[in-house]
Amino acid sequence: MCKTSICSGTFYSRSKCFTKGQEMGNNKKRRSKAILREEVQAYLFIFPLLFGIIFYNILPIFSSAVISLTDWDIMTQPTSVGFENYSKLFKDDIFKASFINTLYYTGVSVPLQVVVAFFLALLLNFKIKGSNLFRACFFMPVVTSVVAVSTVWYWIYNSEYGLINLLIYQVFGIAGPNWLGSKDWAMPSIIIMSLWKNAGYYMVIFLAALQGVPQELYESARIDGASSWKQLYYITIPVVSPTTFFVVIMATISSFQMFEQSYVMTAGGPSYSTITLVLSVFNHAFKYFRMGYASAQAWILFLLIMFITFIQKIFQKKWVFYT
Amino acid sequence: MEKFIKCLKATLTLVLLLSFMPTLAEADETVTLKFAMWDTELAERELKEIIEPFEEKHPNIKVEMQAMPFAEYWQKVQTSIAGGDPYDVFAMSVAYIWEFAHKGMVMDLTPMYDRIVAESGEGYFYDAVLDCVRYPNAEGQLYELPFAWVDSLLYYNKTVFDEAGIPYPTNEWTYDDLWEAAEKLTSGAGPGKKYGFTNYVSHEFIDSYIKAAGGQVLNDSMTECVVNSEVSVKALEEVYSKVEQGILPAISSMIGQPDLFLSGKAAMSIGGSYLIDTYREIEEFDWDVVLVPSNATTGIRSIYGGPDGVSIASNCAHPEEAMLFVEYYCDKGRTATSYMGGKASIVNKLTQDPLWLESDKKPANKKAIIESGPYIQGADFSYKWSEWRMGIMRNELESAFSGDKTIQEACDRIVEQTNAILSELKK
Repeated sequence: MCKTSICSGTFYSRSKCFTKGQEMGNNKKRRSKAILREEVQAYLFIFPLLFGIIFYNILPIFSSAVISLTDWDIMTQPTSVGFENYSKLFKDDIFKASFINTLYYTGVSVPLQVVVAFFLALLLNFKIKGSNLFRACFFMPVVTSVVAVSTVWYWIYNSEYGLINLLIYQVFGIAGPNWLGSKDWAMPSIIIMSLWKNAGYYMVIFLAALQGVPQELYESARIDGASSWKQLYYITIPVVSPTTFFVVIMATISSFQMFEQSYVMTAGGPSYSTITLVLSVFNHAFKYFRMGYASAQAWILFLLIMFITFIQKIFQKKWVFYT
Repeated sequence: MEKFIKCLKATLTLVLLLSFMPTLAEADETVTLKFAMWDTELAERELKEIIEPFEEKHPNIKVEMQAMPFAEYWQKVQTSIAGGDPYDVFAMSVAYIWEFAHKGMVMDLTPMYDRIVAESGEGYFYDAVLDCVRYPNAEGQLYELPFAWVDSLLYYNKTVFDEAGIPYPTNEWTYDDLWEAAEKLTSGAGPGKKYGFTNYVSHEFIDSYIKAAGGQVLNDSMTECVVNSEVSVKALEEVYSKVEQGILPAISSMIGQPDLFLSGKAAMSIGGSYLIDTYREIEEFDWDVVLVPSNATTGIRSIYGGPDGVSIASNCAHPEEAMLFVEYYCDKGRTATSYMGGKASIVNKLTQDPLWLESDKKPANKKAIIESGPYIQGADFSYKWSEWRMGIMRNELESAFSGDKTIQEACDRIVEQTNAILSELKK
């Protein structure tokens, strides 16, 4: 509402300026006063949000940069240590493990989530009976809290009494893997759970995009004799590519920030096989009270996400088509 | 219209003023103490048995209790103190008191202890255990007043022993006896396999095992990690050889799994006496406890344990009222029955009360908790214990016991990384 009032207000005063240019000299002061007043009003309107963003987002970002150059345990006064925290990072095996695990998780789960979400959206885009029910079902995990979901999956993955291993045993007669207890299976387990949890969200975004694809494109393609697969490949995928790009960026960022799943299900173990960057930041900040070291890690994570997003932005020219 | 707005303004101002009145009046009389603890199961009982009677005795003090899970407890308490709005009184563990005292986050309660002892006589408290929480060492100050203590016990599944026709463990057992029995009790293969012994990577077991063998985790002054010494490595290799022989379950079948002793899949386990309450729910088999074994060669018996107590935040706004509450919570408000199954009172006479032994409940040999007292050692609780012991050392040992690296390699890594942390103290 405030946005509209600013726009219409400025527009109104500007159009006045253009049409009645000759009066400008006399009314300039009064008008600029009016504009000023409106601007003040506008800022007042957005103040509550702006206040929140400045004090809870922007200031902490800058202060974390300063904290990352100190040694601080919250209780005692911080001492400046220069770039020691950053140089320590490169020698820290646990940090290395968390870095590699984060890349592993992102590298596998982003493509998986995007592809699965896209195909779910394609299927649910057909006008079949009960499609709304299916959409609701696939979206349900998204609105459930990650912690609750992780706790339930913790039991599903239980190697002895868990649903999955009981099923494997009854169908194939063999013992399933120890999902969360083995360091080879723990990360795949988390990836599978996250797929189930997040695919529904991206599916809804894809659904909206699919419904926006102009029908006449398909009509003319059909007249030209294009098969369904060709229609998908030459029409659907290119037309929704801006959405795909958006989904890839969002999934990448949220994957880099994966935390709750590891925290609840494995606490980063076994043998650091599921520790992620954010979990490591959390451990150092709130378990070991090394705020400086945690901030340094957070900045590395920030730079990493920036870098990857930048790369994606460059490569989008090759595969994203804006109509 | 203007008149109406004026009226409205006046009314609103009045309402606003009135709404502040009661809090202003109250602030003069009642003091509210914020009390935090991690034992969520115990919370309701303590509210009824200790806090409510305390509030009746001291009508001007209100205790607001908050119980939260152990995992988030320490973070919340520390940030509350750092943020300047602390929990006035909070439950304290032997594992964390060193750190809190070191950072000056808690008040010195030695004067209170001295006064209670002066009034009630020497030997009122079980000092051998109480001294575990003094800072910086057993001769230092008390920054926590204990109310109870716990230690480790050897739990055994009587039913399994009966079926195998093997005599039950005794207080005289050495670790050699333990391994021998464990081997005999291991049977089967695949998902249905039963093990002789479990929970061997926990600090409740492994640190004591190293010490009984004559080794050390940290040196005497707790300034350096020495777990890569020949004796300690040999002790750990001994444990790993049992994993290779299949007598002990693989690490991966313990992590993220229900307790193997609880589910009847392991015949013996060494764990804290606080597990008694959980194990009392077992219906499938009979069980009992004895003392943790000693080492046959050295003759040393080392048992993990220590007191549970409460501390007062150093920036607590009502120290006098907090002191009153702490004294009531730890001493005056306690009877022999106000302890959970696995906890012993720090007040000597209460543990000698037959009611405390709960002869109608398991374990039949509950007095083993008290008999373990003289052998209690902590787990080298010191600077950043949660980081080097529960982070680095736990993970390295888990990798070594999984066969990813040798025990020697893991111990060298533990020493290197732990010493890097401990060296911060000297700065």
